[in-house]
Amino acid sequence: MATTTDLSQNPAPKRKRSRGSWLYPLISVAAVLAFLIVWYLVALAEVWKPLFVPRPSDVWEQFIRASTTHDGNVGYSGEYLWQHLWSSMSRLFEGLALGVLIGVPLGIALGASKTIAAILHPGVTVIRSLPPLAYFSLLIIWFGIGDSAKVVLLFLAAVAPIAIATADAVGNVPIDRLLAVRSLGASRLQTITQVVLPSALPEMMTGLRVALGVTFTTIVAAETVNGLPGIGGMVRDAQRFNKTDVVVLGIIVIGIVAVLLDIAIRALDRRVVPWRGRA
Amino acid sequence: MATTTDDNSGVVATRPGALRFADVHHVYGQGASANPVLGPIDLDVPGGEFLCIVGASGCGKSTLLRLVAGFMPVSIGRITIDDREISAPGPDRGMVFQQPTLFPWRSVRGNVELALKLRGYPRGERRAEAERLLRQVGLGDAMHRRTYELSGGMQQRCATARALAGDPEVLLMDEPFGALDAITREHMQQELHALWRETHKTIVFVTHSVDEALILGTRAIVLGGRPGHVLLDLPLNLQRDAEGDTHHDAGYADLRSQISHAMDDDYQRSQSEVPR
Ligand SMILES: Nc1ncnc2c1ncn2[C@@H]1O[C@H](COP(=O)(O)OP(=O)(O)O)[C@@H](O)[C@H]1O
Ligand SMILES: [Mg+2]
Repeated sequence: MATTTDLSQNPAPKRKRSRGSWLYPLISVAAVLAFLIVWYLVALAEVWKPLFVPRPSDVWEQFIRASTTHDGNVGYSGEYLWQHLWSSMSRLFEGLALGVLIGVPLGIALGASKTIAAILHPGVTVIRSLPPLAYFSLLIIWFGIGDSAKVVLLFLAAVAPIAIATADAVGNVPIDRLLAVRSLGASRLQTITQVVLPSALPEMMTGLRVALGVTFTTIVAAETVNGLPGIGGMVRDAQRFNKTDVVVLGIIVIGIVAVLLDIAIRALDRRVVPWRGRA
Repeated sequence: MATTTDDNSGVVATRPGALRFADVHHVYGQGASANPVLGPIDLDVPGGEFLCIVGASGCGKSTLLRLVAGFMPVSIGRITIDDREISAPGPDRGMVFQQPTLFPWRSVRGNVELALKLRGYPRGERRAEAERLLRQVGLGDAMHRRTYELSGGMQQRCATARALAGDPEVLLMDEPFGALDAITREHMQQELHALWRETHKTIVFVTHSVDEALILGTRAIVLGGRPGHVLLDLPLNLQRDAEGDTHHDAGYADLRSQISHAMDDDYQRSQSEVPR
């Protein structure tokens, strides 16, 4: 959060922020509240059966049940809600981490060498164009229905946007910036580590953000196959038993986590590339 | 001047950083798309000279500077610095570009420290040397700022400090003040001239402003024609007033009109050519 002292040192952004900083978040909160009220009224009036539109109170009760031990039952299906969430998130971060680990060097290679680009570009483009679930069945045949297939799926979903963003960025470093570092006597390796990679950081962060979005939607869908524990698995399981309130609970949790992840990655972006759009 | 008399001993010393261009040509591309942009260039630049290169855009000024910087080999001929042939970038030459090419992920001082590191400066001495260079260009108070927070003029000062890392004999500047507003530009010109008076490095300064050349240079050449070559080569020995200005000198108007005429003639000729 920007404190008043921060702003007073930077008078220009102050004027721009003073209105937007509270007004628009307030509108967002109001919109969410309005939605909850409409939902409550619709459920109260029983416009549709609770099987289709559960009451907010039912969903809240499921939230409590899924988070506690009740009548000797632990959470939902033997795991607490946070454990379902944690399972999904650890799969997601494993896949994403692999995607960064492989995607960044791959992107550098694609951006630095026309030959490597010619060899790998068709493959990377195909992987990026296919919806990840299209090859999920094949991964299940190869890796079984356990976690490996899901992590590999997430890795494949993440690696393409990261590699492509990195490759584009590496190919678009301003020529004078490269000449400047060359005139200082940098070796090829020094040019890459000191200039090419940092120059590419803003686009790489954008690629990471895209990858996070893709992996998040993918994990929820992928957990429809043997996804327990997992938030997607919980939703799928509840749907099979017509527990609509649990389904809605899962959707709300997924939505909230998606928003939080986006806020987190934006904050990370501001920390990592504070010069974005300014240099 | 290449040779100066040392007042104490009377010994004649030659300043380092002498550039010599011998029958230099440059062609971009090959075969059918070959585009000869420069040549022939024959020039002798004594060490310590402040050489201004003027000419219409596209006449090859930046190309000439890039050849001296060693970014690409000359197509024909040779360029030497103190009789060493130029074949690659080297610590004897520093370059400042029109757009400041600073690294925004590093602080102002960090940019200069990186330059010193790449120049092979010992680790323990980098910080002090970077601070000395930044004070020299008037950025003593901005060392810890982020480069993208600086004004255009301050960014070019930082770029100059970076180019001075490792104490090169020759400073190459490609329209360094071209993007600055008039007032900032005037200040930067005075500061650069002061820097040159202190260090007496050879400076090759590209500009398309005739006045800038007359304010700064000890010599001006006009580049033009196709491929680009030296149309006019003038020594400038203008007197400076207290503010460092040269336009009160009686010779100013005459030099200005000579250079302008050479550029105008070049422009007329280029307009009558059949576009390729
Ligand atoms: N990298 C390049 N490849 C091909 N042609 C170039 C390249 N750089 C410059 N040129 C051409 O060479 C000519 C001279 O360019 P340049 O040296 O940049 O001129 P100036 O700096 O005087 O404006 C121009 O016609 C330009 O189009
Ligand atoms: Mg140019």
